[in-house]
Amino acid sequence: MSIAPLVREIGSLAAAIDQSDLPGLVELQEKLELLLTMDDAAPVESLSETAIEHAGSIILREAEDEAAAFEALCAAVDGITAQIASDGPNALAEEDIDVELLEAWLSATVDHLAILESTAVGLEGPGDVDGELLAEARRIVHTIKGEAGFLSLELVRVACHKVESLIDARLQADLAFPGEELLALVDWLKRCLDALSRDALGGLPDAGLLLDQIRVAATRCNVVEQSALTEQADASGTSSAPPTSVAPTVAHVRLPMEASGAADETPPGNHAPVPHASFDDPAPVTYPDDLGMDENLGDFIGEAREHLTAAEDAVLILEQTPEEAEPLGTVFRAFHTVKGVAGFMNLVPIVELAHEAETLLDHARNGRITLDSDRLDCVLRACDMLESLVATLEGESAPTCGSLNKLVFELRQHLQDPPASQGSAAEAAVTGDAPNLARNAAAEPNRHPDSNANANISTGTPATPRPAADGSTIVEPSAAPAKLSATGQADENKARRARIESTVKVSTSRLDNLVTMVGELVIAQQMILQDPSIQSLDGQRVQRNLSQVSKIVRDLQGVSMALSMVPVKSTFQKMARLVRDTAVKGGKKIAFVMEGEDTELDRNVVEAIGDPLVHMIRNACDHGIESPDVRVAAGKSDTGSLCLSAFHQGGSIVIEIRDDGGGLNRERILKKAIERGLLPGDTDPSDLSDSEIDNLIFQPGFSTAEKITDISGRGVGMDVVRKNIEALRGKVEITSRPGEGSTFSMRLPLTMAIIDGMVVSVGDERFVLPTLAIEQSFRPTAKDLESTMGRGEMARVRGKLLPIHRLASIFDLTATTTDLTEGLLLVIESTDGRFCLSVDEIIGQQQVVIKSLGEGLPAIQGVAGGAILGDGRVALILDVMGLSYAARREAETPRTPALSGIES
Amino acid sequence: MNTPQASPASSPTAASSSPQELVIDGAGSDTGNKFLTFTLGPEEYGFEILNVREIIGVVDITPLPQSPDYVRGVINLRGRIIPVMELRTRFGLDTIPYDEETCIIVLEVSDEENDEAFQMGVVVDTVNEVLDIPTGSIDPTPRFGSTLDTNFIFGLGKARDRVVTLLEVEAVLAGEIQDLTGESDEFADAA
Repeated sequence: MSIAPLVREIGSLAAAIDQSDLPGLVELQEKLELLLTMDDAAPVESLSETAIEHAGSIILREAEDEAAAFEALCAAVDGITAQIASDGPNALAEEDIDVELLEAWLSATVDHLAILESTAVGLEGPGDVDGELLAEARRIVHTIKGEAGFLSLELVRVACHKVESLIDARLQADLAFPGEELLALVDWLKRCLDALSRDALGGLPDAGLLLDQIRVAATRCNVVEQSALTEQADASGTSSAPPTSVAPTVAHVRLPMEASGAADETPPGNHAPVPHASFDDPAPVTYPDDLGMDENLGDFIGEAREHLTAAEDAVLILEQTPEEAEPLGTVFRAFHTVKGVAGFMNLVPIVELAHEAETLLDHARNGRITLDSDRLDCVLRACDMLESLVATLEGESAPTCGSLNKLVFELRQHLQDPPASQGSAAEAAVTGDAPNLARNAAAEPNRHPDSNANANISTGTPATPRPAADGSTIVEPSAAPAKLSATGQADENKARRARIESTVKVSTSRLDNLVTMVGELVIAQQMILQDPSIQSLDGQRVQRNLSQVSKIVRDLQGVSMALSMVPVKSTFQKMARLVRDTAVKGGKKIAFVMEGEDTELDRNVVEAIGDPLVHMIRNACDHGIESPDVRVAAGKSDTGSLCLSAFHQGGSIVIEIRDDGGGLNRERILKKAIERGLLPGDTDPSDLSDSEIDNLIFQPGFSTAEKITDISGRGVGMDVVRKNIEALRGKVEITSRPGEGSTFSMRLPLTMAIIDGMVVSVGDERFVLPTLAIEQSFRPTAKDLESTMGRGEMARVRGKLLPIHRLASIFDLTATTTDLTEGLLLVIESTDGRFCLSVDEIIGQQQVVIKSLGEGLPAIQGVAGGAILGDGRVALILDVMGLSYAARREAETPRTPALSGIES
Repeated sequence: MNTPQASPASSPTAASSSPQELVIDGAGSDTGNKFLTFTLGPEEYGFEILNVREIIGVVDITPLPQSPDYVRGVINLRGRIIPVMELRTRFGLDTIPYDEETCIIVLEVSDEENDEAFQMGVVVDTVNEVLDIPTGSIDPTPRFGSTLDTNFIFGLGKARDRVVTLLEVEAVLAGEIQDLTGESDEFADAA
């Protein structure tokens, strides 16, 4: 057997005890001694001996300074874990790596990290520490730690553990939240995830820097804490207590350790029975009442059910073959996962029960106990109980606290070996209380949810750990009155049931396939509708049925589109971190606000807006918001505000970045633009409108930053932003007021797969133009048209002269007519300016599915893709931006046909 | 149109090395020696059957602007848009009007970088048959000097009493991609 699991146990034990916990110290010492007897312990031998020595000195009251000795003990234990971890997380990982599990962990942890990151940024902000955020951050770190330990990612576990302790220490000492360290952890974990997803057995990135940083922070914290302690003496008792919101987590972490520790040492006969009052508690189990906010609840319910079903099956196999390792592992994993996720969501009763069952199974895995039928029965009942606890989340009636407590108690009893004595102990406990239990059992069927509403096993309010006779701790019902009356709870349940939708995971390729097929269906349906022989049918029934089919197809298209929509939340959350980092680097104070992060966008669009957003947010932080002293001088608050919002507007999504900084400095922009020769030669600077000047910052090579920072100022940035957004068929606009701030807004299509298109024709060919790009269309009269130098054609549109580009000449086609007054002009709005596009006629407006023009073919300028029209033929979708480039290029060649429209 | 002509200099290097490899392959397996033959005028050509996905009649072709002259345009192949090449123009022959014998052979080559199959149609005068040509009956391409670009040719197959020019699918199509890329780079510069 490898020493890794033992080292892990030692590590978590050391984390859970303090210097006054003698039974814990004894157990730690025993485990350390056991470690020394093992084969692979050579590298940690001296450290273990040191640790044993310190533990002994505290136990025997020989130490002069117990706190210091305990400190040294912890340091030695940390050294051992770090040593084992650095010996190779891979060596550890290889022996029991479960690729499937690892993958699940990777994907779950990516999400966790995203949340953790935004939480950390939120916590770091000024003002009091937000209890909810804090609890969340701790929960996530704890979950990652637990799962990493389970996956034998020792280094990750150690790092998480250190950060966790650091947070606790900081809070107990009433110090600032260690956001910097937490973010360092997040960064490192991200690198770990990268490394692991590339190669599961490859090494993890070096954690030396991170651990050093945490160690330094922890030492600083200890110094302050100790001085605070000596100064304040008794008075510090209250201030060093952790904030109340944290208490449940602490209780949950420590409770099992102490309980199992006690169970190992205390002879079964002496095991004091748990107070029976908690067994016949008829109050229903309740959850913290802030659950409703969590949209992951539905996922959890589905997943938990799956795991529990798998666990049940595995238990049934175990009943036949108790020695089999694989089903045991399955059951263990099921409970562990349920516990982890439930812990993350603060479902305390579930966590507690799953934890007990897991401990029992863990003992069985380590061969300390055998799984006899009693124990398996108990595990099965734990499954049942968990299932009903999960069902409670959906609004089913909850099991009683009494039954839950009883099951937890039994699970703990079963931890002891040999089964015989355990049996008697359980029996003693049970028979001694027979009347009570019987009453309990009788009382169970007719529960009175309202009779004892304030005796919840765990409400959102803090639970007080109460030491029992044997040193184990029972979470006692909170004395605080429950917030919900029985009827209120029923309503709540109903609401919750309505909120939770069951979900299935589907691979993206299948989803894409579905969307494509629906696109085909739309085309095929249009082909049928437009078929001349169908149109010649005049039976009313046929027409009615056809329109029914059209309606269904349209609905189907809507549904399939909705499938690939995801909220912009995850992308937005990353920006919070960016703002924080940029602000810290630039010495600025920025309050970051997100709005409408639940707005849904096509998944591909959400991915693609990440980069432009990063550029724009950086610019806003770096150039937009002024440094605190400048702000104060301008009569503004020293903290700038940056608001990132998303909302629907007229069939597209708008993402806005609004800052209250200095606004764009038009004078400087203009000066820079002239300096860098970004203005077309014939432009008179005084002719430019404010918005035209603002838009100059999107020119390639533009930057007004006085000095180039590592954040922005190299003049690549805004032009890339505009290119990226235009590639998404979106638009970016600026509005800015000097001294009041600027707003950048991106207008994006809802989906990448379909556009609202205007079908136009030139000669025999048809083209699709995005409707969004067309400002107006008109048939020009001869007096609307002007020309210059015999070539440059222009049209007068509302008093302004716009250049005319002929689609026929850009694409070298034969138009039906070369007379402009016989064709149509479309006024096209592109970021490159407005221009008129001359076409033969407009055929109609329709939604088209965008398709690539064959893989492997490079892009053609002015063409965004192809669409299959109703008659099955392919029409090219035009890209207005590229068109205007292509047109200018075309104009440079002398082949442009002479004007004819104007002469006529 | 100011499109560059396919010149021997711009042809991919892959074309010159692959014939040898293919011959080695062919020696090992017999299935690799089946060819779909077709005609362009009086001459008979062949594509290795493994690269042929399907044969369809001529459908409406939407022209692609700013493309080499031998790119006929794009077609709708059951909902998928694929480019179509005029093989006669590609080989420098005169084009002839399409008739009911004219076919589009849909070729497929896998793009190993993206793990995707790239499909393209080529227009030919008529499709003949599937021929079995043993490796021993395939002669290497003779050198014609600068008058004739032999990069597309992987060998000359002798079957019964006639000679079939066996074409290198990747070279025929890859040249196409190459040219278009060059074209688009030029655009990028102009932009």
